[in-house]
Amino acid sequence: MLRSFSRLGGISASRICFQQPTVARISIASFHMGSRPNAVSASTSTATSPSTPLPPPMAASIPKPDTPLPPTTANATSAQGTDAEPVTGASSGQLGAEEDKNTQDDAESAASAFAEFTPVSPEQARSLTQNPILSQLVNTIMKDGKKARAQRFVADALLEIRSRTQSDPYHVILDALELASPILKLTAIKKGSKVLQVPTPMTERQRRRKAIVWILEASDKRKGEKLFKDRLASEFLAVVNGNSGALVKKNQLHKMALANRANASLKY
Amino acid sequence: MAHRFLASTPLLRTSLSLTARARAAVPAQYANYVTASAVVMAGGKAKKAAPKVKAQSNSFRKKKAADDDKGESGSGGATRLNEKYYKPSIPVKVEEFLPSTATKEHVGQVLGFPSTVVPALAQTAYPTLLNEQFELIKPAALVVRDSTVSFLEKVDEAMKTPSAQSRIVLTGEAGSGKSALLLQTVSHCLSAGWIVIYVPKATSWMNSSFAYNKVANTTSFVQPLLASNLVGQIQNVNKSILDKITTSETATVGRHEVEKGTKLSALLEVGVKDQFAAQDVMEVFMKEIGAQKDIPTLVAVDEVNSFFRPTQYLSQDGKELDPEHLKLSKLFLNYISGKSTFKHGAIVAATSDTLLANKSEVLDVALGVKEVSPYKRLSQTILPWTQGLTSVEVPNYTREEAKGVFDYYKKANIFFDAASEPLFLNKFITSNGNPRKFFTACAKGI
Repeated sequence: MLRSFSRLGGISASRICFQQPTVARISIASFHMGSRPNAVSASTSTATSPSTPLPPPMAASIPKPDTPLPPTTANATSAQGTDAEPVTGASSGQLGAEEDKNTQDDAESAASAFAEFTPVSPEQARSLTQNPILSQLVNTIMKDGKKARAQRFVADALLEIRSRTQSDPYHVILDALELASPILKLTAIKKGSKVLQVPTPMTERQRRRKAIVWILEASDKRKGEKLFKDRLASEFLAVVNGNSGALVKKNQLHKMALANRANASLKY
Repeated sequence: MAHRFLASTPLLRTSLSLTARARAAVPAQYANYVTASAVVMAGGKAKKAAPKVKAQSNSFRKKKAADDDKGESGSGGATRLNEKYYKPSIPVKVEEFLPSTATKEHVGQVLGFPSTVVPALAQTAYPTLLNEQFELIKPAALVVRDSTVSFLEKVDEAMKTPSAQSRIVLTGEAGSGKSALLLQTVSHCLSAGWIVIYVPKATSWMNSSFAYNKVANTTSFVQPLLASNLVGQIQNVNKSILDKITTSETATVGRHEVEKGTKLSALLEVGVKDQFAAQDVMEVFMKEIGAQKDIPTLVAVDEVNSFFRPTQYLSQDGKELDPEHLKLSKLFLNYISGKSTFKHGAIVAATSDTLLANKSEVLDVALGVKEVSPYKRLSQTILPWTQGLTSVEVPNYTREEAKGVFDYYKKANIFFDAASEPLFLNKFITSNGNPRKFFTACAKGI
């Protein structure tokens, strides 16, 4: 009986018990996307369900590194030091006196293509466990299930970025991941005897993972820096400064995709 | 580990590694000796070098492109840093930690070391893990705690009493602020005009990182370079005060004669210039400052547990030496144990949990910090040195102190989350108020 199942669709015997119905597949996908029961409900309706069409290419929506982010009303008032965010209004008087440029920057980054998921509470915006982007970074670095070690690496690298730049390392990482992530991947399909490269879109998470992997590979090539956290911090800063092996790889992939753009209309 | 062997060549005065020292020890006429194999290798290398040069000149541009990811800004020099993220570091504004500001009203405030004290503290390194925090947030500052205020009151009381009556050891769990409290005590006493002898890493005295020589006809050993370094540090820290005190009698230090009435700073100068006289200089110096009553003396020793366990030096028989066999350590042990005393002064020490291997069970048992089975054999040679030490426990942060530190970290831009009450509670509770863990929680979020 088990053998016939596997012949049917190449499903391995162990997978039979875990075949998910359509509804549950969406919920798993939205788990991966980082939405929580309390989070903004808009995130659950993005292109995770199979019936909606694929989203358009992201190139237009990614802010170019040279142009500054458009000023928002929150930004304009930040110089005055007013407590624009309700969160800080709730804090004790002695803590809330300072201006909240960073929560307003968080609002900006929330507007960017990558930070569409809002964490549960503002104090967990940069949490290594709750923030979906940082936790993906941690998981990609993790080997043999050594999560605490990976968390230490990321935390130390963030601190290293902060001590070198005197600015918020979380935004540096967000920016670096956006800059290094490709828009699409090339899928090889066989048309007749020829192998064609077809540009196909990627989900947010796939794009981000590619960026992380390339940054990690580029950081391994760094010589002169003994500790992993130093190499990783240097690589993030190199991406943000415009010269990194990860950016080279991204540009190469984009060039190949442009060259093969004719294949994009093929159905397979 | 060349230091383990008895040697006293001039080369040991430097801090060269073994290989560098071996290389330096080769006489000049042999250094340029060419062997046959070297000639053969040179021929092979010349063959390799020629085409390499050609390849470099042809593919010069390509090679430069590949070299681009050296450093975050690039080796070409033409690449710029992203101005959006690179900002100048602005030191945090803090008030000064003075005897007038170390009071109950200032508990919870983070105060920086006074400008008069900072050059003195720069003579010796800060304790290792505290140094990481000070590197991150400039200028170096510590929070005034309840334990600080009460401890400094105790130290001030000791100003007019012999040091044998005030031999205090700071104890507490790892990261609870022992070294920080010791640093505050040192700063307080420097501001108050005491003579301060501060040893931030006593472990380095016992871990065989300095050369040692046996003293003839005794079982003791001297560490000339260590003594010379210590003498230099004391002189730089206390220069203006030591000009006021003079020796009370003639003394022989090494090969030198020091006349009666010499300034103590001049006496220490002898030890700085001649490392082999430094040990005698230290002994005369300690006796002189102990004999006078005008200026109290503070001896502050961090990582004091290394004084109460076997050292990593070996005797001629290959057995581990105890600290009492090293003359400089024995000098300090006399004052710590009360065998010698300053007429006015105090001995304050702090234990360190940084390296498990350095823990001293004897000291922990003597201070009452740890209990062992009565059948356990404790070292009978080390145990007598621990008599009469009083233990002061340094607790974790109270909520008020932690709040002050949290505000300071926020001002210093250690973390960029909004400084809210829930965030503070998160950090305070997960770290249980332990200062080191609280810093890690705020700075790293883990």
